[in-house]
Amino acid sequence: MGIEIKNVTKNFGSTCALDQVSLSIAGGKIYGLLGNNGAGKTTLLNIITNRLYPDSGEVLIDDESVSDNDRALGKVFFMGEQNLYPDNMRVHKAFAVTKLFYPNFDIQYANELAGRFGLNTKKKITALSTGYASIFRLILALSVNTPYLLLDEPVLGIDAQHRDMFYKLLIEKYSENPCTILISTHLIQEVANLIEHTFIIKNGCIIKDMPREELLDGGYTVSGPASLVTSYLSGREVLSVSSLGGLKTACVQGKAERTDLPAGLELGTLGLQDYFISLMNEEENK
Amino acid sequence: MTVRFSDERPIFIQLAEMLEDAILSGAYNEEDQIPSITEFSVAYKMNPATALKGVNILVDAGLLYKKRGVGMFVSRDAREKLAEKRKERFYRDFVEPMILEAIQLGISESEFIEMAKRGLSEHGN
Amino acid sequence: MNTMNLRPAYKYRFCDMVKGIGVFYAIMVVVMTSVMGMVSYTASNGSEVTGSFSAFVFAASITLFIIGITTIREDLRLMLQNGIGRRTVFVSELLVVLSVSLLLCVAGELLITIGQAVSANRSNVVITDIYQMLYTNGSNYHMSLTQHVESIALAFGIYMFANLAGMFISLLFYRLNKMWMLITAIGVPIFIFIGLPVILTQTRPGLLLESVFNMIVAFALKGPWALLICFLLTAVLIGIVNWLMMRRAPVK
Repeated sequence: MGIEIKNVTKNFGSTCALDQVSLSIAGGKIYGLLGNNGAGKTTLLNIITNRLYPDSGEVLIDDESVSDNDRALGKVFFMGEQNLYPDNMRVHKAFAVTKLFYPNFDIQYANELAGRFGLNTKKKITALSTGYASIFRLILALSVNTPYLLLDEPVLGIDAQHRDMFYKLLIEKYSENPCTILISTHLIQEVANLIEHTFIIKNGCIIKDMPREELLDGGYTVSGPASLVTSYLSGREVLSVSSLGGLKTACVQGKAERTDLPAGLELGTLGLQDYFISLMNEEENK
Repeated sequence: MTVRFSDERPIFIQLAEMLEDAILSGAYNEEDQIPSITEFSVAYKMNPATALKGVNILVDAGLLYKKRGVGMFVSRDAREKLAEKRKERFYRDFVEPMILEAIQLGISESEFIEMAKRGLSEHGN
Repeated sequence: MNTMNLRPAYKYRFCDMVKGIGVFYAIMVVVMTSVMGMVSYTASNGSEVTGSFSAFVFAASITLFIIGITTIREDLRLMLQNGIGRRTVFVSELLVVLSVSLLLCVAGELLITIGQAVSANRSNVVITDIYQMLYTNGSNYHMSLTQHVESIALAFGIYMFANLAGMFISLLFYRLNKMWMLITAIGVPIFIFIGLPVILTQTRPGLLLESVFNMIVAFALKGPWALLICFLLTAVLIGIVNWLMMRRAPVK
């Protein structure tokens, strides 16, 4: 069961967008697909939902290939940055059409959400501002009730108040009706507390694939007077270092040993965004 | 309820500590029902599985119990248990560092006890 | 085949297309009655005016052609957003065109027949259409049932061809990248107006092609069924090419 991505490779001309990507998405968790712009996140999501075809490899949903397979594709709803509904379709018509194809779509809930977000359902989709066009797609995603939900940069262009509302609604929905959600984003800090399992993608390759806590357990921060930190760091795998005046802070790979910690130094856990940045820099420094 | 979690400790531990604080301070009284996992995860914008982990720390320690079909409640002797647990931690987290700091500053034992007495009389119960 | 979720796809596209066709048909009814009305009105004032309404099939095929161009890309995107695969999109489009063409050719035949019946005793109003113009002597208003069936069938073939041709144009420009689009836009007219005549008249294979073409035309003129077969065969060929263009079309 679940979404299986097996050795997917995709090239656009001479650029390699995805290189032998293999992932497994299952078990009713909230997954995060984290990466910078251009890392390959959207391409991967397009391939999962059969909008693009891979050059090699395959995607299975519940053990069925997605290629031209309505039964498999009907289990997924992909909320991308693009609006694929006809430009001059009105919002309420779009709700009705989605209900036609996804029978579990809750129109009543969608209209209720439209009210809460302040979205006028009589408007044409092209007439919506960037923010409201995103909100429209979010409402679709929150109301569709499919076993798998893929969200690509869900909150881009949305103001802080509505972002907050969205995350809360998403958590509420997930808590009451568990499903499998994948959030793809470069806004690491926003989703750090939401995701249970992390995929980190860089230049078309998956460089990390593990539960978020395990990921963060794999490193720690140490800070204090510069000279003390520097001597502490020798012999250890350093992810990143930053200094300000006489103080230094470093991210270190490995398990923190409190017992042999010199006085004057402080240990801390790694934040997801800091770890992510370290990883990106580390790969560049190699 | 928009509390930001810091990066210092895993979030589920921070949630557990928040719940313990609430029990100690009386915000949650014994036999009170506490909010559901959904409500916690929504309020703090955290993954419900993580919220569950945090709550289960208290359940495992006997501070909370679950009533099936109803929700979670504060145990009758939760405050006592917590106070005991916190006393040991109080020594480790506050007293020990205080002593170490005092040593570093060169404060003598009698000076130290004087300070303690002063504090107790200014803020004492 | 059980992985195809045809019903919602068919329902959506059918409802969408039927609205457009319905409007078209209503307009045709209005035009026909206006022509009849205006002519009888002016004739009652003693003037020598004639009116005709003979382009229903022509207008309908243009409409279907345009619908073919404008809807396929839109529908492909909407359906992929809603978990429908390309094969289902193609099949449902085909089924909808079949249904709508059938409705339209029967309704059109009905309209013409009624119009002819109403204006039967007026010589200054001509109501007719392509089948009659090609295969009967024009003054023969009264057609046998077989002739009606042939007329309906002919219109059906033309409509299928028109819609699929529209889809073809749209898909062609969807799949071509900018360079090929330019080549096609410039090259095709040049080929048709200059290249083709030259090839056909000057070169040996061209002359062969021309004689084949003449054979086809001669065959088509043999009778309505022949013409219908030509249209349907071409429609099938275009349909196959459409599928080949659609099956791996990227949607981003």
